[in-house]
Amino acid sequence: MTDDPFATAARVGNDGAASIANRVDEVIRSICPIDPPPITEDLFLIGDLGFDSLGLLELVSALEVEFALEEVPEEEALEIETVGDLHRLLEGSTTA
Amino acid sequence: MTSPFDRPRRILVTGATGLVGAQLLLDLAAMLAASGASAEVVGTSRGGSKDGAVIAWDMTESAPPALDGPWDVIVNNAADVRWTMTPEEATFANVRTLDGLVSLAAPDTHVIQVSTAYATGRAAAVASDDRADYRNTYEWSKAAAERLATERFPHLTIVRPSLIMGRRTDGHAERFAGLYVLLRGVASSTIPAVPAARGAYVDVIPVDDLTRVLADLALAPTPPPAGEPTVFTVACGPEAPRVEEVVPRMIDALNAWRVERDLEPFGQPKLIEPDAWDRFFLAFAREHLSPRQQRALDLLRAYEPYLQITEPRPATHVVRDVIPAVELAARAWADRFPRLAAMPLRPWKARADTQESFA
Repeated sequence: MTDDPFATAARVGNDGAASIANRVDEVIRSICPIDPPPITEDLFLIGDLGFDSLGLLELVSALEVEFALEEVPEEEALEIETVGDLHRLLEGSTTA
Repeated sequence: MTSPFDRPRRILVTGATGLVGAQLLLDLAAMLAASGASAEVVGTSRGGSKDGAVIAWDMTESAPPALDGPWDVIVNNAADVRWTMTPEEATFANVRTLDGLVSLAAPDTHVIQVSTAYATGRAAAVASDDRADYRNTYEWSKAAAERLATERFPHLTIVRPSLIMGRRTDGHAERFAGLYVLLRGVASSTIPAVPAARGAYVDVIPVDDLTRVLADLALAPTPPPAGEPTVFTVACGPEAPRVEEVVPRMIDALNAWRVERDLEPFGQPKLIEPDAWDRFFLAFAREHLSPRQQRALDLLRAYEPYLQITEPRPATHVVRDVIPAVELAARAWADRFPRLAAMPLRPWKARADTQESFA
């Protein structure tokens, strides 16, 4: 894990689901309110990773900045529970 | 220096990876080293620490053998401090966990229950089990925990801190809850305005001011007498700063961090009187703001009561001069979460510039 969350996003490539997942995981690690365990798709953001509801809003905002997205539709944001949900959301948003 | 104890005492600290518990372990170690006293200090938390120094223990289950009692002192910091828990979640996290301590305590164990200055709720007492008497389920559950601890542990000290932020010395905090929400919200452009009563006290204390009190209690040579618990409130009380000072100083500290990195500073959130908030701002918000912005406002409702307290907390241990610590805490938060602190400005689609403000 790097000390510079901005550098990682630049290092990883912009193509491919794995690359997107890596970037998502790095954003999660960088703003996770607890010292996170290894990030896996089945981890719940609230519960396993210590986010609260407001923290999820922050996380989505940070991902929008990271991926230069317009605001993620609220109905989609409300469906997010796990790391895997975020991977799928961002993979869909960045390839649409 | 000779040990003040007849034998090495055993001190158990729960919630030891949390904001208070982690700092308490540091303070105990420093005070023991300085005094030359000998003690076995063991920390526990639900998940433990990665290095194993803090033992993993879900307090609603049997304690692992490494925690076998009896302990001379148990400092119970374990808590879920979210203000948005369901009653079931709050009871499970903050009340049921006391059951786990019973088997570890001897009749003369000094139990120090870390509660909150707000456990007395709106009725200024912890006696009520009616949730309506409290601002949220957190307060309600901490009052229930105080009542249960009083039943279970004859040598009990209850310590009630007000809101807690990072260390006075450097702003460091293991966890960021409570007032940090203002920093988080401003940085992520989810808070355009704050509902706060004019002149409201923001009673916030540095964590190390609290842990010094806890460490002194834990290292006291004898437990308090059996009977009614001793209750300490560690708070600013009448020395507490007002909301008009705390919020701008926090955001100024965050902005100073940003300017040092050539980032544009955030605007100060508007402070809006609760009455105007309910009658005008929310109606305005419902009509003009995005669904996410509206959801952020809904989530912020949990924080509203703490910015509307216009009577000072009664305090037995008065904490003074906290504004520099608040600023350090804001900088430490930014250092810990640079991605959030460095977020670009994302203007609200409609701002509350025309609403009443006393900022």
